[in-house]
Amino acid sequence: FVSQTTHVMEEAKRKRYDRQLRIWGEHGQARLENCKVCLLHCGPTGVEAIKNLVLGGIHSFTLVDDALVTPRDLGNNFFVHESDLGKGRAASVAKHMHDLNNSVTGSFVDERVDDVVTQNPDFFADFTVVVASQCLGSTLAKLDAVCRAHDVALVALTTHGLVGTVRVSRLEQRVLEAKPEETDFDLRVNQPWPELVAFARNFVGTRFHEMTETQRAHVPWAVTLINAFDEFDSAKETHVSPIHEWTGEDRVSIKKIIKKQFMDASAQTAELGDAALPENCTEALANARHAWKPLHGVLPAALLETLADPKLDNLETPDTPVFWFLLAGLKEFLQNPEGGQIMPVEGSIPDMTSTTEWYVALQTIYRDKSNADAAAVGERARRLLRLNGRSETEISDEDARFFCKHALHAHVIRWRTVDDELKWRNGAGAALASSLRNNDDTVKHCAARYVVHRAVDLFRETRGRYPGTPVDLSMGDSRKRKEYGDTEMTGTEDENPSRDSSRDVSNPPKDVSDPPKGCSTEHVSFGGVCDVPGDTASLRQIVETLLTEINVHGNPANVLDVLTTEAVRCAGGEPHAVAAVIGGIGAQEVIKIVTEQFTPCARTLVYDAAKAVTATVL
Amino acid sequence: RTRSTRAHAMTSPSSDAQLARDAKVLMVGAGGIGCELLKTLVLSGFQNVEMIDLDTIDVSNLNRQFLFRRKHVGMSKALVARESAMKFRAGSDLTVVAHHGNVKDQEFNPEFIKKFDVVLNGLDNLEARKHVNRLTLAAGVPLVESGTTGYLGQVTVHVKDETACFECSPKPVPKSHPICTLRDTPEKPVHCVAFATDLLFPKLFGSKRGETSDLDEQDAVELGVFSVRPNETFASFAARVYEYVFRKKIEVLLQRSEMWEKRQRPMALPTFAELVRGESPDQVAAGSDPTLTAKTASEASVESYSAQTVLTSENAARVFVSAVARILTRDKNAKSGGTDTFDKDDALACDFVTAVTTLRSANYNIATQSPFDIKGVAGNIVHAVATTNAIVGGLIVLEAVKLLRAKNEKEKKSDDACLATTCPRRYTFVKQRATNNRLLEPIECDTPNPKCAVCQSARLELVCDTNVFTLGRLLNDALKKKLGMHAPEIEGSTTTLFLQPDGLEDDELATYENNLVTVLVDLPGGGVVGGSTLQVSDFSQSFEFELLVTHQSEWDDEADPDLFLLRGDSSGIGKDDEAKNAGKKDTDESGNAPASDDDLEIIEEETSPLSPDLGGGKDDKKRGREEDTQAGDDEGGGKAARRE
Repeated sequence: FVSQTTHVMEEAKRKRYDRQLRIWGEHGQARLENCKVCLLHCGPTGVEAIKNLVLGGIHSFTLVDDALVTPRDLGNNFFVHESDLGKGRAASVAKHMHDLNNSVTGSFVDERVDDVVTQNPDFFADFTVVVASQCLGSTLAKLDAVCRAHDVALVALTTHGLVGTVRVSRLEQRVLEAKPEETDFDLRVNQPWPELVAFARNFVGTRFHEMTETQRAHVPWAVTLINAFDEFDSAKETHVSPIHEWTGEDRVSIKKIIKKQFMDASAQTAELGDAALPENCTEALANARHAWKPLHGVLPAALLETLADPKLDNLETPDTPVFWFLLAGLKEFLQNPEGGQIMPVEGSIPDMTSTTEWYVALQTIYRDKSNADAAAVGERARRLLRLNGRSETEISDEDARFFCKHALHAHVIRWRTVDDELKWRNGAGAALASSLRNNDDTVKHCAARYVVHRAVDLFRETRGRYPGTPVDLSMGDSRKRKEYGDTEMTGTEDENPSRDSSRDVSNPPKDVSDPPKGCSTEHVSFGGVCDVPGDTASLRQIVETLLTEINVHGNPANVLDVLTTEAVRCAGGEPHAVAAVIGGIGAQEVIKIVTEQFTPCARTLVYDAAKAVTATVL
Repeated sequence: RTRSTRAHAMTSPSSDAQLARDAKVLMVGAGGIGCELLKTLVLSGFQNVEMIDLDTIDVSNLNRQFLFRRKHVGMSKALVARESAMKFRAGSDLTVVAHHGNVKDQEFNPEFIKKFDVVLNGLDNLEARKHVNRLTLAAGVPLVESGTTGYLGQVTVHVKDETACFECSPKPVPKSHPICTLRDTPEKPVHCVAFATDLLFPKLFGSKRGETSDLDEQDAVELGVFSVRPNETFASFAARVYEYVFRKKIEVLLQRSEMWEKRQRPMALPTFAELVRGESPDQVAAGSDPTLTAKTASEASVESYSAQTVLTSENAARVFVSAVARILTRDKNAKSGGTDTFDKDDALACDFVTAVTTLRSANYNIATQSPFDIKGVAGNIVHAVATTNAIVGGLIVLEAVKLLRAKNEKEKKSDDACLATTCPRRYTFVKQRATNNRLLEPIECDTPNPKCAVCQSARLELVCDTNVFTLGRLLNDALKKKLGMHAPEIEGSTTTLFLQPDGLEDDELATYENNLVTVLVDLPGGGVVGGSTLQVSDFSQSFEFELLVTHQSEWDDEADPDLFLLRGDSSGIGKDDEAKNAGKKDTDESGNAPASDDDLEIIEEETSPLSPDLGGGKDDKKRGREEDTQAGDDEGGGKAARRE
């Protein structure tokens, strides 16, 4: 268990990575530096993702791609040179990647992705993460099974025209340092412990009245709130329960109590009214939510779910990570009759108007309680280790403190398998159907985009090319295909070398009556003629089938016409601007998984560049 | 065949590729966002790109600014970015013009800006952003503005008269600290850091050290203390400064007992000799590097130093003497006049600030931070990572293409208005988490704020003590520092009060110089008093406005350490603002906790004075999610304060 302990880092590295160390710390960086990444396909989406990871300082990357560099690559992939034309794409990209950060080891495999997945699955066993870009669903399903067998994380990325998808898949991701964007201090105002109560009693009643004006103006607001809550509680017939339904009236009365404390103590304040209330009183009023916030007794759903995980009853399984023992320790702590359903105290307090002496005293009370709670959790966890024949030394006091500090947001993510997603099992179909019916237009729209994405995937699967691309190119002789770097029968890369990456970057088709512009002029290219109306009809049929499979009727978000037409018009294009966004999001997911910080995306994410929106759809 | 024809063959003339190919684009900033942006522009078919960046490459850029390599450290960002991009795209029709210069330079005037179809900002400081905003407004060229902080980012679009300009909404401004708090009564770690960077640093190392400042009544004593004596080593000098700053000065302050009635008393530290157990200052400074030329003092003089571990007082004293000796040695060897300001990229300066902050925190019993954290505060360092910049770079290009298309449609006077409506311009906010919170959060562009002094010629109000406030303070502290003006000029109601010096006669120069040191009421033309109106303009920014002066003689330097306020003219504030403020107060009173994701978090933040509905500034509460991610800056150097 690696907690945020002292990891000594070289000064040179510290300087280079200074700005990101400020996000994920040296322990996060150490994890990143152990991370071995495999990238499948070296198109712009995948290469952008790997670029961001190499810059961040992963251990190594391995690129798998058997394509040759074509002129078309120069149009949307930054990491190939003119001088690379005709050479292996994986080798070329690897060379330029290595230049970005030579502390990262790089290698490449000049083989077909599908061959590697089907014929040499053990190849993936030693990676930390596999980033699969522009892969077919069937390939991903196989790869997913392989990755799960070796506990490797899979991050699948696609860019097609103005639409991108990001899908993480992993057996289990433990989230501890969730670092939510919004956090609140854990002050236990409505459930203080004896030491805290004793301290707060120094600042109420006659003691408060007997203070000088200056002293009263320096009573820390946390203390004021504890006393106000106590007064509110005493006035009730029964104690206010932690899950008390707070009415507006209750909230107002807490605030009245706070003001009254100060008014009663000072005739001058009473006379001058609200404007004369000292700053600490204003602070108490502004922070009054601490008196009624239900942080305790009502735990986050994700944590509750994880506390009910069957894994907690199977700790004897070898190699169970200590995270689970700490979680089991926490569970016992929560069940402890003394503790009630109260989380260990987090321990830090916000800045507040106070004398230094009182502030430090208050800080000490919180810190002591936090340490005591963590010790209690740690003790329970260690006992469980012992019972299961493991060494107690696997969890240090520091580990327990670190765990408890973040425990409120602890949870486990388990992704649906790719195979289940493809076959609408394990709730996938229902989830997508529900997204398609969502009242939120963004969700509905992105869900419809996802249906088309799946239809394009099936189209590629059966025809070996993207819809809207020339027929004879994909079916043509292999020599010609090779020339355009399109070496996979699955047509993973663009067939159409003239297809400009930046084309029509933000222009979806206007309406149904706007047919794709003359195929004969626009889509004629090196390979031959494409059949836009035919491809559109085929794709629409696949979309209809998919909708039927998940029991959705009608034409949600114009999925059958506007979106289908657009997908054909994109013709497998992988515009760089969209690839850069998907590569950025994809790399960020990898970093979250590897650093074990922040919360990775638990569902399939769809990005629509025209509308500049993302949504998770199933 | 050239690459461009390969890349763009057979696309229809009206397509985005054509628009991109024909467009002239100006990028301001070639840093974290700039590198990504240049790459994405080039790969989206843009062929005419100019860029401006003042900065040079630092090691800490290399984790994300992928056009730069270690060998480029110290070189111009703009020039190297150009070189790298051209190298990757040799033989194409790409033209990239790079300017290693300040966007505020005269050559980048509105006429220059008019050459471009769109301006794209990837800047790291508020001042330059304001300047570019004014330039683009003057030139009538649309602006795409961007910023990232860690996993958060934003892209906004500004078109004159159609959307809000960059300055229509309040921007966080750097928080200043009352000077007496910094000097005598620090309460927070940040006060100790500011003491080190703003007060002690220039006194010891600045080229003007030795000159009297009006900041300290004890100058006479200090002049002796802060000057190296003949035959004194730099290390002994440093030890003498230690004895003064961390002992003597504290003892003197403790004698002023009235100061400590309501405050915890500070305490003097042990003597230097006691702390370092009898070693001489020279021994301490030399450490493992007797030549005093090592680039870091911490590693030379402290065993098993770690940037993550809080320094002990002993080690802080060692680093202090070691850093002072090394900085002075360095400046002497370089024959430079001194080091005027703290720079976060200067390792010795960081060591110095870390040591001073640690020792001063010990004086005042303030919680101490690690060297890593102190550097973050001192340099106002914004965390930054490649992924967010990549996302933002892509978003900027997509918005730029939309702007080009809109412009194209307008010029063709096409009936086809549907393009703009299907893909409206957006402000896009990048969030850190994809589930629940959307990763991207687009909102519609704001409309121009009628009370914006920059794009809507609203007037501003200056509140000050006209008997004390000089024209020089108005010029430097209010107009330049607060408003981000570059070359302001001031007209009174009957006479000109200040003009930029270029091309002036000697007697005019003398008059204006004299005006700068004159308090407002004594200025020529009958003086400037409460109720007077001034005309302020800046030719370089094509920015002018009316400034109403309001007199106020009583000031609370805790609340308003600047001793003046610059704000929207309160006479122009309508009822709706009051209603809005009242509404805000209600929300606040209802006490809704900002705990859940969907709630709007309320943050206290200092706001800029440009928009009148923010009135007094400090009482204003932020309203919502968009400001929440008002991320800003990619890099951090001396810029807007963020949330505290």
